[in-house]
Amino acid sequence: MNNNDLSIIFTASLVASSCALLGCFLILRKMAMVGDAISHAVLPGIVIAFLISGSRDSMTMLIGAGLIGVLTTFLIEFLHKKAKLQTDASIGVTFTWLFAIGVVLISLFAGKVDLDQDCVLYGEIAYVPLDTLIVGGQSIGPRALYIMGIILTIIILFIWIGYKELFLTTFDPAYASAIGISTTLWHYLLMGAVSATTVASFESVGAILVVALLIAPAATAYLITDNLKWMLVIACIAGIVASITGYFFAVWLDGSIAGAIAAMAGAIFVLAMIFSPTHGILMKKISAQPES
Amino acid sequence: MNSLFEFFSFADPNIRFVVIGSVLLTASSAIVGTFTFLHKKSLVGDAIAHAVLPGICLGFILSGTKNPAYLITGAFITGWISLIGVEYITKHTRIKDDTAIGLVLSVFFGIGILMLTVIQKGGNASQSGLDHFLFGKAAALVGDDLIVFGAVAVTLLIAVFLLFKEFSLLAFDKEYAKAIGLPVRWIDLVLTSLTVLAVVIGIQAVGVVLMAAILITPAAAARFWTNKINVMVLLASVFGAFSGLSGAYISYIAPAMPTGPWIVIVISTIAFISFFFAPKRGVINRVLRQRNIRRTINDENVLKTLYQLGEENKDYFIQRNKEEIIRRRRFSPEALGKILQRLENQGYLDKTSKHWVLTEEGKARGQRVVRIHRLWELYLTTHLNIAPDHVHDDADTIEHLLTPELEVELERLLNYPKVDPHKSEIPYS
Amino acid sequence: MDNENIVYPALEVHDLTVAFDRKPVLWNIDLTLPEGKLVGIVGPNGAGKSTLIKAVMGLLPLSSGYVKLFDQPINDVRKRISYVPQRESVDWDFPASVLDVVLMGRYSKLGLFKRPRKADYDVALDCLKKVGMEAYINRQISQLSGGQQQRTFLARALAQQADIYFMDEPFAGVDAATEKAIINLLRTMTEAKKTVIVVHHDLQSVTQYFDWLLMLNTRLIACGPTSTVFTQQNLQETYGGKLTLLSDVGDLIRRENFPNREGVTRKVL
Repeated sequence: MNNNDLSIIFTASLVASSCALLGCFLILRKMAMVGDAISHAVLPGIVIAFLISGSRDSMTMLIGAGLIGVLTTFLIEFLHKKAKLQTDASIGVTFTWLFAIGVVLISLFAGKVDLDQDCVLYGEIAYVPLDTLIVGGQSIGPRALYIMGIILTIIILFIWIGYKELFLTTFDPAYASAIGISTTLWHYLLMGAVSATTVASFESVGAILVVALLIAPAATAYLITDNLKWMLVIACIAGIVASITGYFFAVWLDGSIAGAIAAMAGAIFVLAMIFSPTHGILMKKISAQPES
Repeated sequence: MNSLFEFFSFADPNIRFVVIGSVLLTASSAIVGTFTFLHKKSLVGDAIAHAVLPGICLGFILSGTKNPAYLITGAFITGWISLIGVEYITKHTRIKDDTAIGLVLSVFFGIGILMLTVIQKGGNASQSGLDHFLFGKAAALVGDDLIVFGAVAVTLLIAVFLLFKEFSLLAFDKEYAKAIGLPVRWIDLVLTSLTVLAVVIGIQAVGVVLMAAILITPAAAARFWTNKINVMVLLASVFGAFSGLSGAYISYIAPAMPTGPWIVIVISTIAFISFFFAPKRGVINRVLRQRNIRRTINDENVLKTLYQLGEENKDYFIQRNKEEIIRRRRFSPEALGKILQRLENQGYLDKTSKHWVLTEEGKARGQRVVRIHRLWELYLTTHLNIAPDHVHDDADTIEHLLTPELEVELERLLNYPKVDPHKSEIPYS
Repeated sequence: MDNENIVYPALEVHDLTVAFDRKPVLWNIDLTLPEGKLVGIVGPNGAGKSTLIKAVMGLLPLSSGYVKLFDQPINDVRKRISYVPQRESVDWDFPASVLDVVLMGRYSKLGLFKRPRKADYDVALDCLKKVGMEAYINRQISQLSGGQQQRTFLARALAQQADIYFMDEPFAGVDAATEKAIINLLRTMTEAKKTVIVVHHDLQSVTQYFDWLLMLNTRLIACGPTSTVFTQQNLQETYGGKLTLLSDVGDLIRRENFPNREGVTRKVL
C-alpha cells in the first residue's frame, strides 16, 4: 500500500464518518429522503459558487451551497404546506428540479467549470492525492483530506454540544417544544450541517455516494444497538469499514471507488440485517423457535 | 430560428423517429406516474429508477450487445428486486420505509456505477452509449431501439386503459376496494410492474438519475388543474409529451447536451407555473382570494356601520360624511375613501358632494350583516354557553361568511328570535 | 357556568379558538382552573381534548384568544410546565434507555452545553422509584410494555419538578393496577399544590379520580368541581351528538379560506 492508497482511504473514511454521524439523526427523524434530496439539490449551488469564485476551495462555496440545502428543505415544506402537495411528491419535484438545473449549468459552462456530469454522480476520489494543499511552497498533503478533517471536527463538535437537544427534538419533538427547546432551530441546524457535509464530500464521492454513506451505515448501526451513543460510534465504524473494503474492491475490479464503497456499505448492511445479535433476522428466527 | 423550423418540419426521418419516440416515452411514463403519485409512491418510483442501472449493465455484460431487449429485461429484473428489497427490509426489520427506500436506491445505484465503470474500462467497443442511460439521450432513439421502446410504451398505455377503473379506486380507497372483493394485491402488483416498465423505457429519454421527475412531476402539476382523475391523467400525459418534445428538440440542436435535465427543467417549469397560477388550487389564486375576502369584509363593515348609524336615528337614508363613519368605527381615512368609492360603483351607496347615503340594496346588505351578527351572538350564548361579553369578536367574522342557506338554518334553529344577548333588536327584512 | 371566584388561577384561557386548515376544532373556549387540583378533561373522540392542552402549551397556533399560566404568558413560565404526550406519539424503537428518557426531564433546567450531573441522576432515579420502575433503569425503551412506557413518561414529567402537568391520556393501554398506582401518585402531587390536567376517556372513574372536570366537545360544555358539573344534562350535551350548524360553518371557513378572526391578516405566503 502506498501513500496514494492511504490518502484515498483516509479521505473516504472521513467522508464516511461525517455522513454516518449525521445520518443517524436523519434516519431517526424519518428524514432519510430529505437527506437524499439535499445531496442532489446542492449541485446548482456548487456550480454557481464555482462560476463566481472560479475555484473550488473557497468558503463561499461551502456557505452558498449550505444555504441552498437549507433552502431545499424550505421549498419542500413550502410545496407541502402552501401548495398542498403531498410530502413525497414535493421532495421528488424539488430535488429533481434543482439537480437538473445543476447538470444543465455544468453542460452550459463546460469550459469554465472544472466539473463534469460523471464527477457529479460518482466523484473523483481517485484524484484526491493529486490535488495537494501547498503552504509556503511546500506540499503538505491532499487538500480534500484537510477539508474533510475540518468538516468532521465541526460535526463532532456540533453533536457534542447539542447532543441533548438533538436527542430530545428527534425522539419527542412535542415534549421538546413544551419545555421550551426550539425544534425548528435544531431542525435547520441539522439540515445546514447535512448540506455543508454534502458539499464538502461532493467532489470526492459525488451525489449518490453521499446518500449511501448518509443512510447505509446509520441503518446498519440502528439494527445493532439500542443506545444512541453506540449507534453513532457503530455507524462511523461501518462507514470506515465500507471505505476500506470498498477501495480494495474497486482496485481489484478496476472500477469506480465511490460505487464500490456504496456497494460495500450495502453489503455490510445486509450482514447486519441477517446476523445482528439484537435485531438480526437470524436471531429473531432462532428466538422464535422455542415458542412455536 | 432556422433550426426550429427545420426541426418542426419533421422533414428528416430521423427527427421524426426521435420526436415520436420521446413523446411516446415521456407521455406513457407520465400516465403510469399519475397512479404512482396518487398511490403516494413517488419516492418508490425514484428508488426503482436508480435501481435499474445495475440491471442495464448486467444485461450488457451477459449479452455483450446493446440490444435494447436485453437491457430492458435486465433493468426490469433489478427494478423489481429493489422493490422487493424495500418491502423486505421494512417488513422484517425495524427500519422505516423512507430509510429503506434511500438505502436501496443509493446502494443499487452505487453497484450500477461500479459495473458501468468496469465495463467502460473493459474497452468493449459497443459500450459507448451505455452512459446515456445516466442522463438520457433522446437523439439516440432510432431504428430498432424505437420499435422495442415503442412497443413497451404501447403495452403500458393499453394496460392502464384496461385497468383504469381499478387503479383509480385503489388510489382513492384501498379498504373499500378490498371490501368489494377486488384482487387488491394483484392490482397492486400490476401497477408496480407498470411503474418499473415505465421507468425502464423512460430512462432512454430522461436517464436514471432524474427519471423520478418524469413520473411524479407531470402528475403533481396536473393535480392543480383538476379534481377529476381522467382529466388528470390526460393533462399529465400532455405535460409529459410536451417536455419530451422539448427534450428531443434540445437533443437535436445541441447533440452534446444530455436531454434528461432539460426535460426535467421543462416539466418542472410547467409544475411551478401550475403551483402558482392554476385557478382554484394555485398559490397566487389563494392570495387573491384572501384579498377579495378582505375587501368584502371591509365593504360590509362600512355598510354595517352606516346601517347601525341609521338604527340610531331610525332613518337609514341620511347623508353621512367620512367623519361620522370613522367616529362610529375606526377606518383609516384613505382606506375608507377607497371602500366608499367601490361601494358607490357597485350601487350600494350614492354620493352627493362629500356625503354618502345607502341605497336600498346597500341598506339590505348592511341589515343582513347586522342580522347575522346578532343571530350568531345569540347562537353562541345559547348553544355554546359562551358568556355574552365574549361573543362579539367571533360574530364579527361569521357575519361576513354565512351563506343564505346557513342563515336560514340559524334563524330556524333559534326560532326567529327578536333580540340578541345584548337586547339589541334583530332586524328582519 | 360555574365561575367560582378563583383567586390564584393556575390556568386561564380566554376566547381560545384553534383551527386546523382554518376549520376551527375548538371554538371560543373560556375557562380558569385553580391551583392544586386534579383536573380531568372528558369528551367524545374528536372533541379537541388533546388539541386544547397542546394549544395551551403553545404547541399549536391560536386563531384567537390568549392563554395565561400563573397569570403570565406561557413563554415566561416554560420551566414550570410539564407534559406527558400520548404514548403513541413517539417512536419506541428509538435507541434510548429508560434512564435516558427520564433524564430528558432535567434538560430544561440544564441549558445548552451542560451535561446531566449527579444531582440530576439522583432526581431521575428517585422519580423512577416513585412510579415503580427502578428495576428497569437500563432497559431499552423498545422492550417495555405499554404500562411501563407510560410510567417512564410519567417519571420524566416528575423529574422536571414542574408546577403544572399536562397529561394526554396517561391511562391508555395501562392495566388496572398501574392505573391505580398512577392516580395515587397524582393525588400526592396535587396535595403538594401541583396542578395536574389529565385527558381522560373512561367516564366510570371520573367522580372517583378528579376534583375538577372540564367537559369538551368542540366548545366548552362545563368546567368546575366534578360534583357540580358531572351531571346527566352536561353529559347529554357533551356526548349527545355535535352541533351540525357549527361544523357546517367550520367547513365553510375552510372551504372559503376565511380568516378565523376578522382583524387577523394571516399571511398566505
